[in-house]
Amino acid sequence: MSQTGIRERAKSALQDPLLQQAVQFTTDRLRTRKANVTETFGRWQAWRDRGRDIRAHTIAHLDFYLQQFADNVRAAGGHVHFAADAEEAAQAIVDIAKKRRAKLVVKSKSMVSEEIHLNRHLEDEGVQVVETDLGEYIIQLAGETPSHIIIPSIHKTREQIRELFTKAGGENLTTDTKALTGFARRTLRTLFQSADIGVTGCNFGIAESGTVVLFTNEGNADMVANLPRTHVVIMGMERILPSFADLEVFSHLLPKSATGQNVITYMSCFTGPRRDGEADGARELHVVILDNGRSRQLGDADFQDILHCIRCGACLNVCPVYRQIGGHAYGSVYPGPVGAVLTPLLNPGPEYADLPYASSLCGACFEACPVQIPLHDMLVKLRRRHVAQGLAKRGERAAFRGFRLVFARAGRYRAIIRSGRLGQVLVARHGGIDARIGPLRGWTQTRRAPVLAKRSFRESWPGLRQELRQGNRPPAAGTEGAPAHETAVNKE
Amino acid sequence: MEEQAFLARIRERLGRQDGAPVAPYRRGAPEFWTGRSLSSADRVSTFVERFAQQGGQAWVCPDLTDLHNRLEGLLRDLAPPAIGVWGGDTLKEFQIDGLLARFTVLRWGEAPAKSFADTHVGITGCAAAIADTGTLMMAADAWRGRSVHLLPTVHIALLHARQIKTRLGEALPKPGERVPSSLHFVSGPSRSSDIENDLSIGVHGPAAVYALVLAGRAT
Ligand code: SF4
Repeated sequence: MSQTGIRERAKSALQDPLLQQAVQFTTDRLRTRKANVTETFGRWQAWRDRGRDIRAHTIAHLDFYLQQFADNVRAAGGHVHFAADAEEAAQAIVDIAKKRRAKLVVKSKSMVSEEIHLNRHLEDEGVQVVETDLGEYIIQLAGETPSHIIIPSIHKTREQIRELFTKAGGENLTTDTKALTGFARRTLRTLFQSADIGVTGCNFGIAESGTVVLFTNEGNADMVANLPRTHVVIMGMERILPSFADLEVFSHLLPKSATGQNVITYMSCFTGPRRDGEADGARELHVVILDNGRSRQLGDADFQDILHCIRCGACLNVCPVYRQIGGHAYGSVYPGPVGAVLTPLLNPGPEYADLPYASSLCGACFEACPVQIPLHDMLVKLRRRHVAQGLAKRGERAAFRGFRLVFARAGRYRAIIRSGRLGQVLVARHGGIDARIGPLRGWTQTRRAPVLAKRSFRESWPGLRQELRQGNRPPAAGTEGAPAHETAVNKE
Repeated sequence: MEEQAFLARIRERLGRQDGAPVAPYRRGAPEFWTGRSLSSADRVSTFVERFAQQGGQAWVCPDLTDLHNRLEGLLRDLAPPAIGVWGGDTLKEFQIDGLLARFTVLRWGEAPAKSFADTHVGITGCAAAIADTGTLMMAADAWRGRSVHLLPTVHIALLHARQIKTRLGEALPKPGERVPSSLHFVSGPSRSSDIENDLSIGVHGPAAVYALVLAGRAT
């Protein structure tokens, strides 16, 4: 997938000041918010201990809990598909689409769907796939890949977004955020209603009940899961928790670590498809469970713990390397420290053997991790393993050392950037820079920080009202009045 | 891949025998957390406060008359062309039918499910509420459609003070309990900051969420 090494891609990212600024701004914000929310919450270390213990227990008994989960999904009326690799998983979903004669698939953010290149497989079968997360929708309209995992459309200005939306049929749009999101809301609503299949990821699968749990902020995953006839869930096989009681722990660990939110806006728990007498919800539920190299980590004392990961992204936000080069440079679906460990483990061989070098080994990732995965140790062990396998050529090793030196000290790094000599440090071995970058849509179901509106509902209402009007709904008499009650919004 | 082969591979890697017992582990939230208990007054005030922190607004109504006044005030201001409500007897105890008479009202289970896409306000009860996080728990069944609170621009939930739990764990299904097809935990309005980092609410789900908490007993 990645024809260039991380050094070349890093260099390219480092020359994009907008991207760099955006990444640093966002990671700073998320970090600060996380620090605040965990301090207010209290006893964070005790929560991390509990989180690690539950994940370690689950993974150590994964065969048992996975069987229980699958049995309970079926008992609730759902279908379960086991996929050994990406190809099998994609095929299972393509088969469902064919059987349903699907023309339109709506999706909410899912990294596993990127891992299996689901969109490409569906599009090859003539199925239209629409991403419904606002940022991903924008990027898809532009025909690009996301520039940032937290805010995929950060490199798009509101003027560019207005143009994209106008091309997509928006009339008389302004560059106002409300006008733009209003257009996306109306447009995607009609797609939710007409889609044949909705595809979501899965944050946790509850073994004791066969429940699929999603954490989201926008609400698009709820539309994707509930409105089309068929709901397809794609999940890594390690995404299991034994019980709802355990979900309570992760309902705190995940949003607090991911975005510094005290609680996620929507936690959605689906147990089977809709039941007799129910008039909404998917009629058919399929759960596709993916291995794709994960089982290889089981029983490996050095790396089994990587399967404890809950994909919160906290390790990214504290990583000095990630903060400088951003997600694209990793050239893989999973970026940052977790990606530098997971990607070469899932894809052994030379392709990603350089990723473990994209680290200063400072250990900040371990400190940030809500389930205490020793990422920095794993990075060292991976390097050692790659050297032993002869995957790190001598010249590359030397270059990597230079790379590490650059990132080891922020001061030195900044000095290099300022003097513009970075290009000499990160010598592009292949001469030019191949701008090709791996697909990087979708990082975590839990989205970015909601710096809550400083605006009250009363102030927002005129815009919302306008959206309602533009949605071809007849403005009824009396819609002019603003609500008398002001919605209190926090200033966290 | 065949299910048993898939699971056998995992078992083999873990060095476990088929049917081997599962070791005990410390399940659920830490004891210092599960052992907490808030008084009923604190549960209500914490819920109202945290609900507001999430961007919603909750009021405690001392009696039904007050709840009706609040609801009427909200609806007067919102002037929704169409209101969706839960069906059957689900909201009977709140006695809002009279108040809704002058609006166009779609009742879940009576009006076609698809028509709820055109509602502007959804009025529901809830299965429980969580004080710690300012959360409403919505459980789906034949009379309690998911669309009623998911699709409109404004969601208004009616609940009794006694439905407010301290923490999430108290509201989650217990082992062996029948789990509804959909449990939806809602903490404030839908939000996104995908356009130049600018927060916008209501991009997909409701843009405003209100809760009217009825104190004391239902009449
Ligand atoms: S490894 Fe990173 S993404 Fe995974 S749980 Fe730890 S901090 Fe979160």
